[in-house]
Amino acid sequence: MILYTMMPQELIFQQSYHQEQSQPKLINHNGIPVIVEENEQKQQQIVRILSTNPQDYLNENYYPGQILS
Amino acid sequence: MFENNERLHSDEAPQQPNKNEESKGGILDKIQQLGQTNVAQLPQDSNIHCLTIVGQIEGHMQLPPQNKTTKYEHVIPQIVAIEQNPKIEGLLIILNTVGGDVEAGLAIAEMIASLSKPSVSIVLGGGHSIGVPIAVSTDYSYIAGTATMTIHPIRLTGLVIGVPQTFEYLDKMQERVINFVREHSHISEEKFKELMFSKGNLTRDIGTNVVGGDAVSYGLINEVGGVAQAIKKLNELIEQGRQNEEQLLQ
Repeated sequence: MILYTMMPQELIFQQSYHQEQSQPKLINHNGIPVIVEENEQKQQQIVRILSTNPQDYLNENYYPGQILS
Repeated sequence: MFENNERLHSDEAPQQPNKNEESKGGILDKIQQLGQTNVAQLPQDSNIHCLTIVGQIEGHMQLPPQNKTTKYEHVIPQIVAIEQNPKIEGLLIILNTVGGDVEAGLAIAEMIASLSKPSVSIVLGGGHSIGVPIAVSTDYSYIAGTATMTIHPIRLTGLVIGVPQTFEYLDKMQERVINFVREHSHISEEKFKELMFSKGNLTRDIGTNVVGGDAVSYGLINEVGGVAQAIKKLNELIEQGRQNEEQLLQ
């Protein structure tokens, strides 16, 4: 693999200090692809919406930070 | 009468504070999540879909979690879905990337270039390194006046290239990027290589940092503009496509 980027290699591959933190994962919620992270209460919290439909970003239930039920 | 009224009041009374609490809680949640209370709502479905490419473009290798990435395996299926969905008529690409994996970047650029539907890109902030071929892959490209594109050679950072084959391999990779940019924009190969290998523009490296208007004057990007121009252009291209189809039918 070759990276073609203006960002220095040592910045990309620096040691991260919080390894225990939950890994964000991609799920499909009612047809909208979202990246969720588990919070302290073990709830799925939206980190990022991956949909290409701009209308999905206006959906109140899928704002970043919203908790999925 | 009096009794009735009282009863009505006592019925409503416990509900009202609850309602208030709910709406208050909702607003508080929103402020915590977005830093604002309301986002504009649009009723109808959009015929233009939007693909945002931010951070590092991630391909064959998973990057450490502190990197903000756009993953190849997320983007490619989205482009396929856009191509096959008849309701979607155009694609807007928003770019703010620092570069990333060569093969993943070229794959995304090729997918966008081979799309049958009109596509327009906007470079906001930065479209560096492998972001350059993605920016030029669309039918028409825009760059914000303040946005920059860094054009520099492909290399292995901080390493001395030991084997001649390694150098040749890198050179071939570089050729792929140069060829793609030459084919999909108005810049000549000579000019692009000149920008790529020029000295004294970047403090610790060879290459050039091309700012908004300059990218247009070199022929790399079509026009300086923002979201309004991009959407207008996309609608024009969609309309053009419709007219061509009608002519064919007649």
